[in-house]
Amino acid sequence: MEGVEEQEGAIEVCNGDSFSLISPLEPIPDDSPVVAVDASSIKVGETESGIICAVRGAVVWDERKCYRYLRIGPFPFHITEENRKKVLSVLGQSQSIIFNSGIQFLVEVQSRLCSALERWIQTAISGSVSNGIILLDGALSSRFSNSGFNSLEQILRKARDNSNVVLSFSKTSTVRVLGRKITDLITGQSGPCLLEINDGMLSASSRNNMRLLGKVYVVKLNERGYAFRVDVDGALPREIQVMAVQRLLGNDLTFQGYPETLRLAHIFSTFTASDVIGIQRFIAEEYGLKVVSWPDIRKALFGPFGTGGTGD
Amino acid sequence: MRLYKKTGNTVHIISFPDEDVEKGCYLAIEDKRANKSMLVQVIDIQFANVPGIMEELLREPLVNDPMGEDIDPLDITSHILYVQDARLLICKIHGTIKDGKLMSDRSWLPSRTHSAIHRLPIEKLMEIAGVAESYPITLGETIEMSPLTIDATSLDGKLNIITGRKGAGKSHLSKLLVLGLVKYGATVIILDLNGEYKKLGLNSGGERNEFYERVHILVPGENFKVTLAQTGLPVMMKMLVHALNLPGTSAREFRHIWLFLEERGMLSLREIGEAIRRWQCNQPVKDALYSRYYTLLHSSFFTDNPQEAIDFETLLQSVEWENGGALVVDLSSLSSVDRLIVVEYILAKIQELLYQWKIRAVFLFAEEAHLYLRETYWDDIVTRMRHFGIFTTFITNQPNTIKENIYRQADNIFLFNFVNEHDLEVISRAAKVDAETTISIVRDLPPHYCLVLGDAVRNFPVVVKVRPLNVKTMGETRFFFARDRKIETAAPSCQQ
Repeated sequence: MEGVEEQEGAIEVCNGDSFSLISPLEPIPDDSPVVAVDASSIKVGETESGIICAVRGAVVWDERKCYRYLRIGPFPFHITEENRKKVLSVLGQSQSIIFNSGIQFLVEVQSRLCSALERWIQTAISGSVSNGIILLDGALSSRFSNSGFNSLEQILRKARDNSNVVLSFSKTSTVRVLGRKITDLITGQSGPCLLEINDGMLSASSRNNMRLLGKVYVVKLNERGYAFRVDVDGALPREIQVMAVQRLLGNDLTFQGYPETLRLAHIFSTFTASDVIGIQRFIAEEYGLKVVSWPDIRKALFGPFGTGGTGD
Repeated sequence: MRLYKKTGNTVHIISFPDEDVEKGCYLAIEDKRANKSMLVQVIDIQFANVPGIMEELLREPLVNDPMGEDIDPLDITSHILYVQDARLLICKIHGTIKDGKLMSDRSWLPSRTHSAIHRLPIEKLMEIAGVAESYPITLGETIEMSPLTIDATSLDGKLNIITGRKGAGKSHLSKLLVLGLVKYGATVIILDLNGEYKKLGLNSGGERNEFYERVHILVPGENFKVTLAQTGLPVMMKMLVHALNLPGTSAREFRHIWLFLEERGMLSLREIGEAIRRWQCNQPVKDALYSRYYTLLHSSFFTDNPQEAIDFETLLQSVEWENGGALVVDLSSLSSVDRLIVVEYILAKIQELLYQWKIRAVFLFAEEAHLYLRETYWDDIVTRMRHFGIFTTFITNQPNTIKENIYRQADNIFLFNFVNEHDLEVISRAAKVDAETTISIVRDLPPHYCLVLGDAVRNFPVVVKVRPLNVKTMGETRFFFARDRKIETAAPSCQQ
């Protein structure tokens, strides 16, 4: 989930004594339910007054060796300069955003909408599953809020109340130690293992304006798979946190070291090009909008050299 | 439907799942600003190249899992699926319709944004194209379930080909055309290789039908025998030279023998044998004459008894006078040499009668003609004989047995299904339509469906399901295990 992942920020590890914290992982196959949640958003088009985007969420769980899924959406939104404040206030995020103008801001609102849907699904799942492993995408961190309300905190609390453990996987991590990415630290390890990153190892500056609600680990679930940063609910004891990773290993498949349940949740929520065309068709039919191709100024000006970003 | 692109005489159209379009149907691209419509035929239907379709297909098996559920209150998924099922219609341009009239103009380009595309019913197209129905022969139903009727005059003076793989329904269509022509008083001669046409005068229940009196079955060696006098020297010489490959010197000696006996009023098979025995000529010539003599003798086609013989000339004339009929020459029990003799006789006789204006015209239906038609006859049939009044329909399941020049000059071609690439390549040479149309449509034709090309449909290729015929079937393949199997699907001719 793009929006949440962005919240990880650039976190640095202060010293390099982490190597002593690498522990091997033994799978615990105890039939714990594994539930994964993911959400996606996409810009469907631009209008004269703003952008049209769509969001979709997906929940995948493994039930008696059989994956089940629930897809929620797609939900299209028209975000304009006029309605952006209203949209954010409905999401309860009106204070947490600097009101810039322009398209970048509208895209940020799209990201917030996606986060809101994802958090809503996560809240529902954390309250409806018990004794399970709940897998999220991104890091367990959030911006400080003046309102004192933090949805992620509420999700973690609710999950704990139902004896669940929340594990959050980051596909990419910028956390570094001695100039190396933390995920590179255990790539040479044989067999599933886990590297614990202590709180003290994270620089205070890197946590600026961010609340870390999880305990950071680097986990390699598969000998030949990738290593990922995994945040485990920080309010749980260390033994429970490590055991949760082992329970995940024992109760879910892994693909390239990534949990299959979470991989499927991502696949189900992602928008493909034909999804976008279908949504455009829906909008055109329901609201009478006419879809026209916007001229690509870069291509028009520079021809084959018109590649690159969309910035000014 | 939306116009996507045009390349040469090919137009690509995007079509959506709720639009009823089939391969072979016609579409009118109506440009309201230009006040005219481009007429195109769908020759292939492909999936539209929808972006992201690969990802969707990879995800699809998981989505279709009954263990999954979608909460989609706006029902956007139906729109997504609609887009994914979009089709690309590959169409060939066939002309322009302006003010309800058909024109051959294909040079203009309809507007992408202002054109409306709709299906043009084949029935309507045939009406616009002016397919006359003075002598209607209903071939069957189009893909739109409307009847397809051709005019018998479109077969008059024409060269036709019926081809398709075994069991596709060629003979069935051939019978339908034969009876259609007979109905309007035409004289039809059928060179029946497999004895399939013998029961044309009986309906599927075995009772006599309306054509019973007008269908004449000729079985060479049985009820079809001729005397030498009826045959005449020119026809006999053709048989000896072309069918029996008699060398020139020997042919000259035979001519002398014939004239010698004719002068003396002694022309008979027995006397020819005697004359060869006594004739003063060298032994190789004598041997050559003897071998041909015995071939003629053993064919049982010739007789010295005038009571036993049939006067082919009179028979043909009487058929013509009695308002038409079909002469079915049953070649099924003849050896290949005897077949050549009989066919040579029939064709030579017909030519002779037509040349002398003793008969008006003959429609000749030749099944697997390569098995009995000599090489030089093919070109003769296409060029010279046509002008005399022999209008041939070739029926074959081996399209490569018909020369390319025959295909090029054919006026009507009835194509049944072929899947073999080599066969498709051969039939694609038909000049009446582009190769792409032919191959694409013919490849997917189900049994009993036929692509009609040529004058009969005013050069608008039309797919037709050949209608059942209430005629007793004789063309069914014999099976060893037939007694043990229950054949549930009957041939169309016995469905009624």
